[in-house]
Amino acid sequence: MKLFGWLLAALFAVLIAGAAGARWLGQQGQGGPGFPFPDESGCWNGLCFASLSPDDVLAGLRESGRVAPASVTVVEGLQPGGYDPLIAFTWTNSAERPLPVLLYWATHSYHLTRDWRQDANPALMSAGDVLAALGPPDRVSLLADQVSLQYAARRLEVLVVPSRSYLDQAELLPGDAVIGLFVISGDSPPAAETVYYPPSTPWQGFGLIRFATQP
Amino acid sequence: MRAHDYLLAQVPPWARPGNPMLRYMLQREERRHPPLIRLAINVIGAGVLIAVLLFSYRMAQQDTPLGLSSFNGSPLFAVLYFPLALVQFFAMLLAILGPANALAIEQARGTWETLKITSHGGELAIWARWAAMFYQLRWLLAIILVPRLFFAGRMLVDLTAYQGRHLDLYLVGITPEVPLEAGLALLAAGMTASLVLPLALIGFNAALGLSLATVIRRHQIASLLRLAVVIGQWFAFGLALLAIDVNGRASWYTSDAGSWRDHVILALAGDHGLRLMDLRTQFEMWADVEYGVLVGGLVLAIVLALGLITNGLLRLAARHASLPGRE
Repeated sequence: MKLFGWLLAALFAVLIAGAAGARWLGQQGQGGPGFPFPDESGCWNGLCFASLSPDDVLAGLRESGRVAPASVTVVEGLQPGGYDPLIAFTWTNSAERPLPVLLYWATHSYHLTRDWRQDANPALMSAGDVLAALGPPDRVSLLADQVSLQYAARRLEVLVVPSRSYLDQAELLPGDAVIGLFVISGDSPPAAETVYYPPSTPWQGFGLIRFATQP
Repeated sequence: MRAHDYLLAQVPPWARPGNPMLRYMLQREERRHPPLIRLAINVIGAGVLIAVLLFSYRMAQQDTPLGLSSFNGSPLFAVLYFPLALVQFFAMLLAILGPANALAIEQARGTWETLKITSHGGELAIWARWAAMFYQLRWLLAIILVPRLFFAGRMLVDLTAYQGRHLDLYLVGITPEVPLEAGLALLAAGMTASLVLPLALIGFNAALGLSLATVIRRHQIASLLRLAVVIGQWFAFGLALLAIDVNGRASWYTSDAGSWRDHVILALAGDHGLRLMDLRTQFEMWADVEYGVLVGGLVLAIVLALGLITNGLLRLAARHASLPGRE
């Protein structure tokens, strides 16, 4: 019994140290998601879309060190109404495979989405990357089969495909794919008054999220 | 060499490989069956295990892993889970039946009374018989424990994900709220419990079998009781697997993730402890089950309690084994 007690205590101590060490190693070794977030001022990768013409955006992307210059193209026939031309480009990150991205913008907002034209294209990042980098969102909304994480101070909305969703509930896990970043520029009314669509809820943590109270 | 000697010194004398009584029991057991029969048993056992592994692999390929419906974790875990749970359960059955049967054979041959008249012979025989069971099941124990050690390592690697904040992400919004340090300790407690649980259950079963064989004077009644325990454990094992399966197959939005009590019972009855050696599964339980974060700590406390009960049962068996007049 004494031996068994020592074995348990030793294993427990080793595993606590191992878990703490693994967490520390993760924090030291990984610099965050390969795809950058929009900054506090609402610009992305140095590009402030509200003040740029389509040609400036194309030139800015081609000059970026992390975008494959030859991949920057205007996609004809796919522009959503009211937005400037939709631009396709490939974000290159040495740590991961190239990431095809679509970009479209208007005066007060812009969207960066995974290139949905091919199913095999990867997601921008995972929901866990977003939470690890930006912390818990101010609110979470259920938009059909997507979950939107809203960061009011950054005027940022992150669109995630949850593991599962049904009516007023969704199961959101750290590995779930982020398919889009949506930013409302600083010139527009505060995001808190414009982008919160029902059903929404404060952040409850990962797992099952209920967007409505039970009757 | 020093480390080996130090480790050996921590083991009780009756459990050391050089102990004469332990050696006698192991040699006696080996001689019970001719080498050819032993080889045949090993080959058949290995064949059955490989067949179950292949079947489990095939089911995992079809996205319906055995005993793990609606599982989205590691593919290797999906393949190995059911065969490992089955091996663990088989070892538990051998543990309750094997040592007690060996004792009955000693009694039938009349060597038991000779053993008892030596100083502390009866007591030592019980302790050594219990230790011999672990030596005899060493290959099964290796099959059970090596993958668990691998899964524990895998869990630690998975903890580095999300810039090292994988654990932090799941600690937000759970009930009860726990600080990071407590979260780390509870995760480590759950992993420790899952690693040691097979040994604790096997040891407990062997002690239970031995105590039934010595405390109850009528062999038939003792055998019937052991059979009842085996049937009860079969029932609990099957029911637990069925509960996991049914819960997984039900619509996720209508099915209940269960209470922390359900998960503690499952860990003990259906080797659900192994299931919690997948980090994602463990964290999802923390997120979806109120007080689920405490399950690992509770199972560890139960493992400790099992150790104490096992010790008590062995002492009881040893005391009764030393009493005069047993047939």
